[in-house]
Amino acid sequence: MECIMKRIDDIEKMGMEELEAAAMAGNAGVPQGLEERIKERILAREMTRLPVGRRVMQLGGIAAAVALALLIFNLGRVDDQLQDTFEDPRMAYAQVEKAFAEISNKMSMGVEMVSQAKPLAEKPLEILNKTTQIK
Amino acid sequence: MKRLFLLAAMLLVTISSFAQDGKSIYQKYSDSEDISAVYVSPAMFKLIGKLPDIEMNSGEVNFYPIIKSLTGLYIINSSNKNINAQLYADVEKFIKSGRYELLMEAKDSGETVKMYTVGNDTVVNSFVMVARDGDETTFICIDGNMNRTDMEKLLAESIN
Repeated sequence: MECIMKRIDDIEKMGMEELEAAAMAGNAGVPQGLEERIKERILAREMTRLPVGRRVMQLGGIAAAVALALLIFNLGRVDDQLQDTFEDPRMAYAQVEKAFAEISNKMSMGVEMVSQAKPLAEKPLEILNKTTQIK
Repeated sequence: MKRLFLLAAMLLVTISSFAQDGKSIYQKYSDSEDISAVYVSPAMFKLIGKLPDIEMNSGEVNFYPIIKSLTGLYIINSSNKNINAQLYADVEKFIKSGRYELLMEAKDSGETVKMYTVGNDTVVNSFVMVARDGDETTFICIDGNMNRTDMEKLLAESIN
């Protein structure tokens, strides 16, 4: 370990030319398959990083999809104008009146049910009052 | 390309689901079989508002203040068994998506009535009633800027 530390210290003290000369003179070769591994890494990185053109195309595609959806939606709404059922306002008024009568009729159904349930709802209170009076 | 179409379709479905209202329900069902449908437009309500006031009084009830504030009336009355369930489900969906509050719900002898309103303490912007009675389903939607007090008064007078 001490030997290695010494060698590293020596290397650090060496200049670029000396290092180059030492490398050329030495037998230390490039590890096997290093070049391929580096190439693979570079290629993998290139694959994940999309070119600007492709990114623009992708964003453009999303924008086109949104535009298409809005276009279809708006086309469906072009024929949105409903036609009045009545041309005569008096007839229309009669229908509105009828609609309100229908609503009132249904509402009175609920009110009637409440009034029917009222005596039942008051029964416990009656019993409670009677009980307290006895006491 | 496939992905784009899928995205467009998804967006379309999302937009469409937000667009549910009385009008869309009317449009969907008004031309179906065994359906009676009524639509009164804002323009027609303006015309009705110009009718002499005296004609607005029907019996004890005065519709005039409310009529003037209405902007749309949609009525669908269906006796088509095949679409009744779908109509009811669509109305429920529309109610859920539109911040409606339940005003009243009554169930009696197989008949179910639900009434909803949307608005604030003073104004009702929309009123919806959906009723199911056997093979019949009724949907009424009234849009406008109705004074809540006037409307409650009107309905209370009608009950009496």
